[in-house]
Amino acid sequence: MAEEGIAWRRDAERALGEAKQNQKRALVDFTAAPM
Amino acid sequence: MYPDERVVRLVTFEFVPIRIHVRDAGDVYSRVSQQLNVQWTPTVLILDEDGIERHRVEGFLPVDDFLAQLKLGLARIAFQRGAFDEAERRFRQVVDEHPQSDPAPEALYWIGVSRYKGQGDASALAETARAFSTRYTDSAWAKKASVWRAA
Repeated sequence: MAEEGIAWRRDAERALGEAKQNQKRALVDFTAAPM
Repeated sequence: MYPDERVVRLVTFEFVPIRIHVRDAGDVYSRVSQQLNVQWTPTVLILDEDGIERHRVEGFLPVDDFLAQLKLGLARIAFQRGAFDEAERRFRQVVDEHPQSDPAPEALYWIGVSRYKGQGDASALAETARAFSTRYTDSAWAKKASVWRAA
């Protein structure tokens, strides 16, 4: 589901914590696609 | 992989987008996949504002179905927090904008439930059952709604 043009956060654990702290919805993409 | 402007717009507007690759350095993938009970890729999770999983998509999907799944997840978040008007609007978007997608019958079902719960209007359930007599007739959601025919 990789999409060019999306500013994916790659610091997953920090981003998950920040999203929760800031009350934001998160979309978490687990992938094995070539980067 | 296909860049699609509709996906970029929706994801950017609605979510904090987080990507975890199986080959990420360290054991981030292992830790987070275990924490969120992810066993396969691709898996996409939609977490609500409290970090609670509200929707999960496992496996690759074409763009239209993927967009419909994202919108279904947003509708489920609204429904879960009791924002039934918003939920109804978002479920309706799935049916109107992605009528051929897999989540459309499910969304049609929940449009009726959202209106019933938001407005206490039992006729919404009967209306939904009637809608299933002409659309998505072979879906599991049509069976579930059939009990409302006499509502």
